Amino acid sequence: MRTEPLTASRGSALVLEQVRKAFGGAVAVDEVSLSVAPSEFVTLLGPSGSGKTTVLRMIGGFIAPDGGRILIDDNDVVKVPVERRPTAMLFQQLSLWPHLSVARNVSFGLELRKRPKTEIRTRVAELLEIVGLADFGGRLPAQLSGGQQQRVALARALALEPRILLLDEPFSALDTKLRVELRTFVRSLQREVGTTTILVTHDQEEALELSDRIAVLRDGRIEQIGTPGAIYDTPETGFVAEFLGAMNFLAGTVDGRLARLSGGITVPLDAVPTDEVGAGRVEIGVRPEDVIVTPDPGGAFVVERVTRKGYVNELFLRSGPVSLRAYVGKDLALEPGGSCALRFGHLHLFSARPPGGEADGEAPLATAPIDALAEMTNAREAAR
Amino acid sequence: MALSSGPLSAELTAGVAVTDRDPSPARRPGKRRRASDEGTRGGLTSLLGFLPLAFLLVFGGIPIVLSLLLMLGHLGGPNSAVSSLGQDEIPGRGIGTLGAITQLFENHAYLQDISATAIVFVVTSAVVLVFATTLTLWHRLRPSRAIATLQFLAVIPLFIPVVIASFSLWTFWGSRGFTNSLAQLAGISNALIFSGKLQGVVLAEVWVSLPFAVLLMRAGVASLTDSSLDAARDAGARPLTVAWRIALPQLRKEATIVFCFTAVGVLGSFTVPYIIGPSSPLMLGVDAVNTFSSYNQPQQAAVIGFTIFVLAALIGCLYALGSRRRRVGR
Amino acid sequence: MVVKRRRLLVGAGAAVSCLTLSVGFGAGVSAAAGRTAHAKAHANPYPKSLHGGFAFYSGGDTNVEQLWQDVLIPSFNRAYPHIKINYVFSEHGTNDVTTLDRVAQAVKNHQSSGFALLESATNAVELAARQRLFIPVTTKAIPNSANVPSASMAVVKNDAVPYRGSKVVLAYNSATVKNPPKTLAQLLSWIKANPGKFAYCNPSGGGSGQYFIEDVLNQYLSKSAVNTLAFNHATSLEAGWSKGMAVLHSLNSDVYGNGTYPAGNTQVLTLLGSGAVQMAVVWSDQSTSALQDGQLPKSVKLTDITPAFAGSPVYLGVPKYTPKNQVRLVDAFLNFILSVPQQAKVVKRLAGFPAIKVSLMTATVKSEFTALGEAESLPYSAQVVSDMERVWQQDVP
Repeated sequence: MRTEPLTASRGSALVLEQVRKAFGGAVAVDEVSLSVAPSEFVTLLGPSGSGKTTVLRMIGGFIAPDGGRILIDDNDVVKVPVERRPTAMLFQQLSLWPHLSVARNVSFGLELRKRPKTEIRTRVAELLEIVGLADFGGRLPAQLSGGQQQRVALARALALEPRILLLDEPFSALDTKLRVELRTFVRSLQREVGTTTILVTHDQEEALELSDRIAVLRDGRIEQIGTPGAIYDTPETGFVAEFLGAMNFLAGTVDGRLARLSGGITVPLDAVPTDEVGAGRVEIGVRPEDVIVTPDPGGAFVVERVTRKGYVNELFLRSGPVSLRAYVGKDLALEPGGSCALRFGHLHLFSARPPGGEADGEAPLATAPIDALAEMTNAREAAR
Repeated sequence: MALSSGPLSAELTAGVAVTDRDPSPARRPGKRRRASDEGTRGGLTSLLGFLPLAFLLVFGGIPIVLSLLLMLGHLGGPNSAVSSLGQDEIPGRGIGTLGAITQLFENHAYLQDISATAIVFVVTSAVVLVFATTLTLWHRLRPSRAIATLQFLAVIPLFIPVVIASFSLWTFWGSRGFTNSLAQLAGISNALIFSGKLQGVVLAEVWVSLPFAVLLMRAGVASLTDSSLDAARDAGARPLTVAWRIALPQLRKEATIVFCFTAVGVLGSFTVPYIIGPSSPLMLGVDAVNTFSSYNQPQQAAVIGFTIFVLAALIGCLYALGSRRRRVGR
Repeated sequence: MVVKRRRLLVGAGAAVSCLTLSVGFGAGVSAAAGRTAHAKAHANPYPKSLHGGFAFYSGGDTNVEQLWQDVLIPSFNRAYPHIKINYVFSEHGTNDVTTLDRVAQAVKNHQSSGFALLESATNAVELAARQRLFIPVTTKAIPNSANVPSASMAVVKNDAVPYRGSKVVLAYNSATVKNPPKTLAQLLSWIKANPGKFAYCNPSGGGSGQYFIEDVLNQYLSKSAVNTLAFNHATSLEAGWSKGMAVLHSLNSDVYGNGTYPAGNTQVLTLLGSGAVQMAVVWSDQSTSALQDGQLPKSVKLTDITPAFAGSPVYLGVPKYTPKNQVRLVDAFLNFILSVPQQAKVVKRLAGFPAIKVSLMTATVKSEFTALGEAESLPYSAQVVSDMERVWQQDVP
């Protein structure tokens, strides 16, 4: 478990301190601590069941934590009910009130706060303008598309001028095109308005595109937190590496400056800092885009399958028991059955454990990213 | 990739060509059979649609027409069986006579019966609606074991025969019943006797109607999305405001159904007002049965039946208005 | 067919027993009267070897079903082992109307209805008899019918035969009422003197109330008028009810619950049993079994007043066009149940009145009735009762 030090609380917009929550016997959130700077956009990323939504709903006040503190602008809000928390949430499901017009949906919170009518009217018009639905105020939600509805919901949330904006997978009910469109919109709007924002998602692309920082959650704990680039480039665990981007895991044994894989394949570890390389079993992690493929009739690897993935092709490669995926340019002339040689542009070294599998106890993973090219040889080649 | 996609698409085209241009003889009758199947299915569908209609006509429509004719004094033909034994009949010629209708409506007691019935069904329906909505919505917004238990208890009358329930309630609310004994202990004698009173009828009808109303409202409340309720609280609404301004407006249709069905149920009820109600005024259901079987006046009973029908139709209009989808814009 | 339900929750009927009426006030009566003989034992024309079967429709309460199933049919089968009776029972007589409609339709088509014998919890059989749907009863076919009081035969124009009766009586709580009223006048003044302590049921719901009302109304009618109303729908005589109705109306504030008239007979007994009222008009059979079962406290006593409340017999009818061989079996059955020993069983089982003259019964049976006396008049005929109930509803509560 990696969490941030608890020193950043002063001046933070939001601080979670060892927040815990269990449902029945099942621990949903396990001592999560997090500090979010004003105007920061932080994403809680994780698979379903990782506790990310529970964390978000605890911030919003919909769920009371079993323990720990939640500070918003340095005030503990754990005892503050939903309706008085300075947060606003955008929900996963379309949550507009179907019996109220778009304008009334947006103005509802302001009406409850007994703002003057003229102020409400101006504010609603302004917000609908911002979300690009200026002419839709008189319509009912049912007359709007899903994307439009979510934009109204966003306007509704912003109308409350929340200190923290909570986004609970708000794009998942939309189709791909709308999703991309809306998240771009949300990102630019958030930059403009500057509201501190927490997003919950299981979509890595979303997380990478929107976030200032990403917290990867697993089994109710934060597995790693950092900027998108740092997490992508230096995943601290196999789980993070697999959840954010794709990664090949190759089991092997370290032998001096070499890692020996099954089937007689060796991977040189020259570029890996010596102190990071222990002896014994390891997992070598290689992102598919870091696999450099060269067509070579005498190469050790055979192409099993080719899949188009938009702007790249995904090759499924195999050599004996070792199989991995590689992203290659579309112009690379390789067909199923063709042979090739491989190099790794960048590799990560993890202590041995089943990649992507269940957590195997408390053993932390050693990571060792290398930057230099690692030439890969195989036993046959070496013999020649 | 380029190479593999070529043959694949060619194969597909070939496949299409085979089935389209060269239909094998074996398939032809199959196709024809399919066409005739559709014909049969169409016929079956229309027959299935016709059956309920025919059923309604034979068992509902025709009897209604007959009793309408009876009301207007057409005593012969299909009505002769009923009218041969009836008393105080007013025969009509041509279109018919309004004699039976005026006879009843000129009777002050009958007008009292109508207003008593109207008051009972309006009050009962309103109380049932409030109870059912409160119970279900409260549980939705603030779930607790107590409310869950209450909800469960409210459904129990569904499993108790109305006759037995009415009789027990009649005893319970009588002068020697539980409520009055309690009232007497508190020093207010005879304040809580409901047997033989319209208040008793209302209470019992509420008891009888509540289960269905609770079940229906529960379904309605369940259809409210969590997010729409959460969003309201998030926007700063206290639970009562959420209930009043967000949940209730979305339950308009269910509320209309509960109100109208309860009203129609009460309107046509017999057992409850018969056992619990006062000797006068009578609820129309009891009045109709008495007039038909005790006073042996089938024609006048038909008038009462028609009165009930008109009241039910009014409730039906309310239902149609309330359950209509909102059309906004334009 | 319109059938009035006299008694909703109890076995129907009230006794018309030995009448003090003079014989011969109606055409129907004279026919019966001529054959009335005071013979206890009539020669039984039906041999034990009779065989076959027939269907018997019966509507009533479970005590009636038990009477047939547990008592009368088994003892008949001991006498006639080869006759099989298919007993079809409808609780509370809910199927009476449809069954009667079926019979009426069959008779209209000159066909057998399938039922060779009918009994109803309501006055359906009485009405059907008046519609002449049944085979007339003769003393030749049913010798024991001669034991039935002629007036009970006359009510149904000899087309049906009663097999039991019940009577309305006054029940009071002897713990609080030391001197029960002996006359109607005393009863009325007791009611006024003890407001809220007397109950009679709505005549539309339970028959017991009907007989109290008739007793009050009849005070202001001549004896001949009362007799006429027992047989004819004499609307002109109904005008004479106004005084009696006014008296009943004046009782509103003095009867139970400020003018609350319980819907049925059972509710009246409940009120009596709970102590809510001290006095009530009840069925003799229903209250006797309630006393036996402990539903009524032992302190409740039954008595009668003068003029005595009327009652009515429960009839059995044989639909026309029933096959001849079945009619013979049914007649054997009817003759059997009208015999003195079987009537004694009816009296014992239902705590009711016999269909035959009480004077023919054994001394022990007779003694049961001495306290209650016998009805002095016949109840109103069906259509008159309908009018009476309507007028009561209009004028009284």
